[in-house]
Amino acid sequence: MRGIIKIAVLVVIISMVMFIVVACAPKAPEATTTEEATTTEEAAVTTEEKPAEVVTLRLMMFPDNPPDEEMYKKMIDEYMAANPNIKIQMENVPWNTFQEKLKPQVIAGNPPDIARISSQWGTEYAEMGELADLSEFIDTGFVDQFQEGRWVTCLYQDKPFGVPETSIAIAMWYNKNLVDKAGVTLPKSVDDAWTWEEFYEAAKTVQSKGGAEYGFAIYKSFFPYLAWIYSGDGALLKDDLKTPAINDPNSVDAIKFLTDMHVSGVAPVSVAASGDADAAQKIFQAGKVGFYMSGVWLLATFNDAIKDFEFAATYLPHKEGEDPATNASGENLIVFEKSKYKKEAFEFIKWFTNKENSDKHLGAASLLSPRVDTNPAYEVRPDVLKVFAEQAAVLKIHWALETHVPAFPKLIAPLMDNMTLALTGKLNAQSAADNIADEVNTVMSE
Amino acid sequence: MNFVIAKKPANWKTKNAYIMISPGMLLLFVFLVVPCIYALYISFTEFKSGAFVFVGLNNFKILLKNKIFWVSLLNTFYYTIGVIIPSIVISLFIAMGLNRKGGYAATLRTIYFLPVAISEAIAAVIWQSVLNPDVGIANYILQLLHFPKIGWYADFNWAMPTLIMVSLWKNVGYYMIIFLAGLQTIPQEYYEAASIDGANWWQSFRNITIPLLRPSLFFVYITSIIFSFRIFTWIYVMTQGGPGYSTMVTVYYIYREGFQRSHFGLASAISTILLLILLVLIIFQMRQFRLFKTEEEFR
Repeated sequence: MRGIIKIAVLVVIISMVMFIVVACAPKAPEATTTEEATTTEEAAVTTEEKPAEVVTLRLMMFPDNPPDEEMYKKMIDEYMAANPNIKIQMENVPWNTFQEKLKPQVIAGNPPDIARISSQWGTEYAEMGELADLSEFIDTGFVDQFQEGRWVTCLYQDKPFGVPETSIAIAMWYNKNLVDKAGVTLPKSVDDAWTWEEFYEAAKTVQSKGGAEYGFAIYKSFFPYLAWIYSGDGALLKDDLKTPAINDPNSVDAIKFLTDMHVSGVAPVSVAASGDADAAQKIFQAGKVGFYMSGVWLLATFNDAIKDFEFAATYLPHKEGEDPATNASGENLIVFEKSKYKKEAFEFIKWFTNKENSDKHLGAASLLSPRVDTNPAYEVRPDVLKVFAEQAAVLKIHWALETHVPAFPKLIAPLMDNMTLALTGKLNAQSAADNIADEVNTVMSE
Repeated sequence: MNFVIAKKPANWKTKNAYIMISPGMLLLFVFLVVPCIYALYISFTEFKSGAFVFVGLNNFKILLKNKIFWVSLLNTFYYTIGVIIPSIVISLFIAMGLNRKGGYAATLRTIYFLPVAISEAIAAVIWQSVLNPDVGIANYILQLLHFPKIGWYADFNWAMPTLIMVSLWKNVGYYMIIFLAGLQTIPQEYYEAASIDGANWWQSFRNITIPLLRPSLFFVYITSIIFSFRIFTWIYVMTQGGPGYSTMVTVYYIYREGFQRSHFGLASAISTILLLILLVLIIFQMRQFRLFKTEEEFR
């Protein structure tokens, strides 16, 4: 009996060792296809010499909204049907955990072939040498299809590592019922946008006469916080993209004005203090907020969720004497250096972002396009998307560049910490800005 | 009745015993010990441009001067003390109240245990919604009763007590079960004999229940320390370490530095320090509970 037990235990040990060795072994190199790609209108990849082996591409993405996710699946199926030798495995990861899933894979040497990322994440991976240089695949004239402010976010040391896929912009959502009840007249164009003071008065009026619990709320994220700072001609970094500009007078003024709106009760301090990034969205959806500063990606969500009141969008206010501003970036599709199928990956991206497919995808997903020839047939609220598109057009290149520096992901936490302390009145605007500036200097010297 | 840890298995065949536990030990070694050793190595490096560069004790020096690290340690102790004492007291008294057959005891035991069965992430999302300062049902009820709204997890002063409250809701049922099991091993004759001798409730509790529950008490005490030091999900879902740094605990700070800011070396250094603190605490507590004594020493 003892002998049988010993043998059984030995078998278990050997099985477990084999399991561990197989699980931890590096991936065996896959057979590569030998091919010369011929590009057709549909960008089908063909081989000349013998039937193409199946190429499997791993695509990791986060959806902006449910229609976006559905379009992704539909278009991937369409591409695979047109290219039978290409298999695309889509991995859908929520945005707020995307980096936590992607970064360990990259560091462990097992990244996907393609990833859809927020534009501010790309250069960190490029600096690590993890992204493929796509120069060899890009034809003359390809770059001219995209808006400059979006294309620059796909470059590292002037070499392209990705292709812009969407554009997103910050503007001002509003509760039409409350605004109309308050009798507030909205600006008709981005050039006609309110000054900060005019907006403050409008928000207070909506609160007092429109019945809103809060006149204004802002999405708790660096994205709209920086948009507000830009609206005062402030910035996070100076033109050298290394020295802090966040504690310059214009930036501090912007933080101070935003703080005053919170501390005076026009905007909810609870949102600024909350760890729930969607706190402001929830109270807007509950019909308690007049104006909500957030992004275009919410359109499809609001369209489904908001039934008790009418919502629309208007233009962001700006400091008197300064230009209208926004924060605009978007998602890029990138190819990893460790991918064995960079060419196939790029061919898919090129197909996915061509005018026809881009318009189809973004029209259904209610997202803005990074293309210069964009004309999506928006299925939902084209009036709202028109406002966001006009707002996105005021983007200055510096704003796109400063959130694109490789160190930017390391600056988000201290920026958010100090903005929370400022907006809740725990720290004055100058001290908060100085703290952020200190962190900028520390991170830039790493 | 003596409760001691046997120092040496007297009549086991030691070789067979080691063979039997070797599969588990192998798993532990590969998936626990090796990563711990690697993490220790990482704590002496810095992640730069895709590679780990050796920097010696630099990360530990940075931590000595890092205000947020010290705040996170203080908050961890604040949370731990805030959770342990009520956990033990509440769960023990519930267990004592429900240590009976029949009636509603079984139903109540199930009700108290239900929160344990819910995953922490789901529980955190539910409480985040319930305690939302602006649209949550908790404040709605408070306002109906003419009480002022509470900021809950979005208030600098209330954030940590809120986390302690939801943690207690989640964990009391688990500790209750542990104490129930311990209480059911205490012979009723002891209480009957004490009663005959004129002992009141408190005297019985102090001289019979507590001493005989010592292993359960120790287990609950140590596990609640470990769980408290490891708190993460509640913070991640509800507060993100805020408002300000009022709920920034050490484990969340490790996550933030490692995953959000790619300071892997610094994050590993923090986890090394946290491990050392926990080890010291646990060893100290084990000595306090006299669990290192052999049967002979105990007599």
